[in-house]
Amino acid sequence: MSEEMLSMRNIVKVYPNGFMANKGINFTVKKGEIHALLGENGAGKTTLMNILFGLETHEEGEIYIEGKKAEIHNPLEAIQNGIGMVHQHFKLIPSLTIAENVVLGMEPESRPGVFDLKEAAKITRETAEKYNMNIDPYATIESVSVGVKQQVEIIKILVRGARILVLDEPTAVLTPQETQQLFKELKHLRDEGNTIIFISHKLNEVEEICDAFTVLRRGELVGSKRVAESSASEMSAMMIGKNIDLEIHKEEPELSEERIRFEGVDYVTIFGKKKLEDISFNVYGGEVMGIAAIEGNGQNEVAEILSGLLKYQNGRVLLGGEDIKEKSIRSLREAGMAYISNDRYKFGCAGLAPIRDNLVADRYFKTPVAKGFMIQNRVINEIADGLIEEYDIRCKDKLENASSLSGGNAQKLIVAREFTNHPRAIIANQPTRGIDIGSSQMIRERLVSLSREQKVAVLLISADLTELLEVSDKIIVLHNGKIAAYIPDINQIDEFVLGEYMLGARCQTPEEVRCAIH
Amino acid sequence: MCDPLKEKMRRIFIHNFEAFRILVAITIAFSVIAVLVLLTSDDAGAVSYWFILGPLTSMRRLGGVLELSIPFILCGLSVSMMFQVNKFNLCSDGIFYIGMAFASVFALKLDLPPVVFPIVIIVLCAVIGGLTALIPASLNLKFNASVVVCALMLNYVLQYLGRYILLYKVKDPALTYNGSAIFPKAATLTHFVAKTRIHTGIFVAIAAVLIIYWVLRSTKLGFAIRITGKNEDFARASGINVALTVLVSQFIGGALAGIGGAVEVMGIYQQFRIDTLLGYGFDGLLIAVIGKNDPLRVTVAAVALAYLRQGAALVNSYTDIPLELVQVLQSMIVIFVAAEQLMAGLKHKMIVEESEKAGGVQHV
Amino acid sequence: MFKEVITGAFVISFLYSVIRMATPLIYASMGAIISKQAGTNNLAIEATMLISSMVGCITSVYIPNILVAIVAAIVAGILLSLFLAFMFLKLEANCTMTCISLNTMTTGLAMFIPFALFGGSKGSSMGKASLTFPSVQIPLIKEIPILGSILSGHCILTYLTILVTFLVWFIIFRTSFGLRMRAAGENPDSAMSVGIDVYGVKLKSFILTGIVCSLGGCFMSMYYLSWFTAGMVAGRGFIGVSISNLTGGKPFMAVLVALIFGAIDAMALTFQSAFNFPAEILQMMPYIATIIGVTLVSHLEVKRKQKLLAK
Repeated sequence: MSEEMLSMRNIVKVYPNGFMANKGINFTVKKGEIHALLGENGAGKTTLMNILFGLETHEEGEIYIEGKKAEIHNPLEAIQNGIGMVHQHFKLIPSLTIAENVVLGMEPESRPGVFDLKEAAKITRETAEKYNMNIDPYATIESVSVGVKQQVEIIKILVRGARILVLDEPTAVLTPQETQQLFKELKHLRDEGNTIIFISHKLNEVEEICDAFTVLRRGELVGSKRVAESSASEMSAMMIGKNIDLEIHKEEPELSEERIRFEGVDYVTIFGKKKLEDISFNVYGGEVMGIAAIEGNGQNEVAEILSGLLKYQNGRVLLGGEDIKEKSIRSLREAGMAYISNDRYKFGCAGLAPIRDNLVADRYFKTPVAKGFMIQNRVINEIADGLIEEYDIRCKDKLENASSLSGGNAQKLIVAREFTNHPRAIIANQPTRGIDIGSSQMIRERLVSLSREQKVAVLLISADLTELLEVSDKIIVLHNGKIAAYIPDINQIDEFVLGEYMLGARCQTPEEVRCAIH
Repeated sequence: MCDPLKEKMRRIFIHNFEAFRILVAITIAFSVIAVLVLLTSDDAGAVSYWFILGPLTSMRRLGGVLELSIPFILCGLSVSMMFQVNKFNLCSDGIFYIGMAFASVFALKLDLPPVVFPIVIIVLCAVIGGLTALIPASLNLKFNASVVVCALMLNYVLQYLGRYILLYKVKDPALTYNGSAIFPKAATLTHFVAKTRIHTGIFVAIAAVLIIYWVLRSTKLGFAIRITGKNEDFARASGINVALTVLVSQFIGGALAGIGGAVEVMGIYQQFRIDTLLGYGFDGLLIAVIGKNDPLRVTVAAVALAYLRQGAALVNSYTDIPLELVQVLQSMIVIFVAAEQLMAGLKHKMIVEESEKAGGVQHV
Repeated sequence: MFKEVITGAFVISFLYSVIRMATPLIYASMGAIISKQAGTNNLAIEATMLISSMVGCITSVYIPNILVAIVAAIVAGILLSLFLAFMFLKLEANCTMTCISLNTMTTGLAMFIPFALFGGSKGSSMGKASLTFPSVQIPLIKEIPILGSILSGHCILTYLTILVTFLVWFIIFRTSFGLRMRAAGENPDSAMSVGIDVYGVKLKSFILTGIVCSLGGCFMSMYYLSWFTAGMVAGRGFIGVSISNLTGGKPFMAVLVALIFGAIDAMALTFQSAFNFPAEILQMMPYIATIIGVTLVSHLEVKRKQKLLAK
């Protein structure tokens, strides 16, 4: 029976604004196993690992390594305790060679002060060969593939004597082949006596490679089990809890004409990563189409393509029957597109500009605000006052900067603007993330009423499954940039099944997916 | 329970934080200069007298303040228009000088009736200035070249170009120094206040302030410029054509500097005899920073700086402290104002305390 | 007309000028390269050169010892760099604004201090006996026909550029400190995650820049001219920054480009007297060349990044 390698006991983490990210978590990992740490976004797993690695402090709790108490207050102390972390966003220096990156901070020197590249390359090569990694120590980071970069990160921590390796969503950036290569290396590492903590959303991978798993939900530990004694469905059920029931009364949708249409759309980033593959679906005026997806599975790209911020590569995207490829953002908006961005302070508002100006930024150039080439501040004031009252935006003065608003009120400002410029298609990307219950309910109810009363086509992207099930009429599930499921009738599904689709534990047939164009 | 007076003062501090910060920066800079003066001067009292009260002691001296305000306002507006969209296009200094040079060429080579003549020259120099400012701006937009470096290099190019014009295109051979012929009366701006050199260019400056104020506040272009400057991504997502907006604001900035040069040479000098950059562009930088790019505040800052400079000129004439000390003072003010963290720690602490007292924590 | 002027003597004196004009540019670009590799967009090279040229020259008026003068100049350069480091690293000031203002501030000081110390004309130490570096004739080299006259007879600071260039290259690319500096400059986050003291490394880079730039400043007021005048750096600091950007921070390439700029500068000088060409047009050339160069390099850099990331 292998003993405990790591034991984190009663970890409590409270952020300065009062948010409790970890509520007394007891996390144990056995020696020589690959242990998955599962949970939705915001569940607290990144926080817990940051505490382990000394990147964040904790209010209560202790860390024990191989039975001995460990004091970890910064990354250096974590490294001294044999903990190494491979972050989701690599911490590498692009223009330096692999060998230089590996020894950075502990450089071998041939003479005092003089860096010994040959020795660095030797160290790198030895460790790489030990774990069957095929790399060229003299290649620069910017010239190698993502898979190799990750190998370098692993070598980095091995060279520093790590025996507990924490990998944060390691396969998020890898191709299927690179993933298999990684798994071979991880198994080899485990067989050599190392302990691996594997943070992931991908249940199929957890089933494939992990020995045990632990599930966190809303800052609390839900449970731990051995993979062999469990299943993806059980993991999924443990991860997705049920929210407080927020009932929204809505009638059956009465459809008007088609407003949004995606046909065989691909999107590849400038980094060469394929984010969307063969996306086809449509949305009619009068209905709410939900998109369910774990963060990073392509839903953001769908939103930004439709709102004109990104240009797609293949296929067609139609707004109100017209191809949007060559259209400017203004012409899209004039055709009835409205966009609630998930990045509130980047695309949603100008924090340093007055609330009043933020409210009319999409309509300042046309009547009734504009007259010829002038704008009428009197009209802007009237519109602003009206919107502030109608949407209950709590502010002292509309001339104050938008940055003075709380998160919820800033979001109310954004929806007040986006909902009132005669929209015909609204893209709502995480519209209620991080804001209070009252404002959230108001936004959800407005979305529904816009679809029912004004026959607006609503595309709702959300990670909150309860919200999706309450507000949407139909749902598309995105996984790895592809449509994993199309649910034409939300009454036929519950959040557990939805969760399984989102996590890749289940997938529809291509015929079922094709119905997304209805 | 906390002391209510302290509470009130704390609230005033946070709300007027920017003003306080500028005040602190100015105080630090002044203190350093005061120390330098005390160390090098024999009569610190006279220095203080001339510096603080000097400009008020005669009509001519007060007039000097207003004369200097004209190029200061125009350059301040010029820089603030460029800064509105967060582009450090610092070529106002060079454009001012080249505005003087080209105005001289037009004044001596064209022949137009009075009143019309200066107006035409001003318009021409505005266009030249605007187009010049577009050089660094478009290189930055299209090729991602550094606006700052291109603009600063351009200043040197414009200096040599202006000097070339002085020495080879408009030089009057009859003069013993390098200068052009005196402009024909029709091409000058009349001095209309006795005992001073205050010229009708002041109306041009005032008109510029009002026009820019009006453009920013009440036109579609002005709205687009303001929002682009506050958040370029948001402007783009709202449908604003950010590239066009940036270029237009740079053009306007350049035009203002060109007008400044034309007005200065037609009003004060009435002939072209300067062979180096006057540095008003960098004064404009200070004015724009203190005035926070707002036309009315910029005007106040411009007049205040003109007053300071006049005081320094008097100190220079009547005591042993040279003019350049003010230049040092000015630069220090900008440096300290530009230090974002100056007192930011204090502000943060106060804000945190205030929000904790307001009670309740927001779930993120 | 050309044939008459382009004699052997003309070419020799032209090439000699090229090396002379390039010297301060080499120092400026080395200083800029150190800052660039450390991830700082240091535009205050100009100010550093100005303050050190003033301090060096004026010190030699009071203490006629050239070694003392150089040391004083270097100290001045370091102090200015430390001030910049403080504003930038500690107070998180906007780098561009701070550098521009430092430049105008030192220009003001450069006008004020000579006046305060000597009286007389402002911003100049003309008329005051300050020291200059002697021209050095190198024993064997000066015998070589043609080449000898070009290469020999420069001031020691010119020959020092060879050593300085090599040292700068070595420090940046062959030492552990240089490795950490480049890491901290390119990706401070990643550097911190392996325990590098980014703050300390950048501070040291500022100091190194200060030292190198002050040597260039000394050259200006104690060899190029034998007195100090406030406008003498004339944008060379900015050209140094541009050379550093143009060459992507590579010291040996920078020397080459500095020589090219030196040639353009020398052209302005020699062509003017030889061909009666208006000096002003030629004097514009280095600056126009800089604008074109900076634009080209920025454009190519964007293209290169796109190609690299599209793999």
